[in-house]
Amino acid sequence: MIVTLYAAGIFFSVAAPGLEHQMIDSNGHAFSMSDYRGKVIYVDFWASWCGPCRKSFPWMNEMHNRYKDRGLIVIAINLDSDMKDASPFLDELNPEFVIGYDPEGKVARSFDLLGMPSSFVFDKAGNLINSHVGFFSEQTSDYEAELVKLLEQQ
Amino acid sequence: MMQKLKAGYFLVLILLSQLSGCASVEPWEKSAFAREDMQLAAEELDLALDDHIYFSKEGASGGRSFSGGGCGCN
Repeated sequence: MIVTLYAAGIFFSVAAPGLEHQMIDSNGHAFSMSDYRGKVIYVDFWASWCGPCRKSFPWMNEMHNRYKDRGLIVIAINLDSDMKDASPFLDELNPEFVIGYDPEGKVARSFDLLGMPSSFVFDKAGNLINSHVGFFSEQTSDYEAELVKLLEQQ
Repeated sequence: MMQKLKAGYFLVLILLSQLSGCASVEPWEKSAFAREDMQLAAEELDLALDDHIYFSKEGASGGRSFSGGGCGCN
């Protein structure tokens, strides 16, 4: 019984949205979102076959360029099962922010995604503040206002 | 009677074992569904043949992609 509870405890502590999860960069080196703790972190999950993800990239580039000096980090996590599928997408859309890869979907599972794309916003203390499923061009001003509010917090 | 009960248990066991075949597909695992050849209207020729069958065997046209309901007024 105790063992079961303990196992369940481990399971729930891992299976939650947080910054501790590890992924790899384009060179295959592991990194964690917690490396960027102290900044406002916008985490986006995407895949090359997902149409709305394509719409979100120019906006994320814009946010990155506008707010990087004020402490915003945009991390876009690719979920293609084959990392190579992401290359044409990236060549076309030229993201300037951080790209992570999670080909086995481990991080995605921990965040319990409901759809693609999904985004999660963490404040400077690393607390999950909000999440969005899908990307809607008409809501970008709301997304941006939320980031600005968090960037102004100490 | 006992034999029937055993057979019943056996059947339930077999049915339960089939449940493991039901797996949920996570949102990030749907790349195959997004492929062009997985779309409902992927094959032009197939659609044209379907239209021909509706028109010649059922006396119906339209309902899929072209205007007119078979009344001859359009």
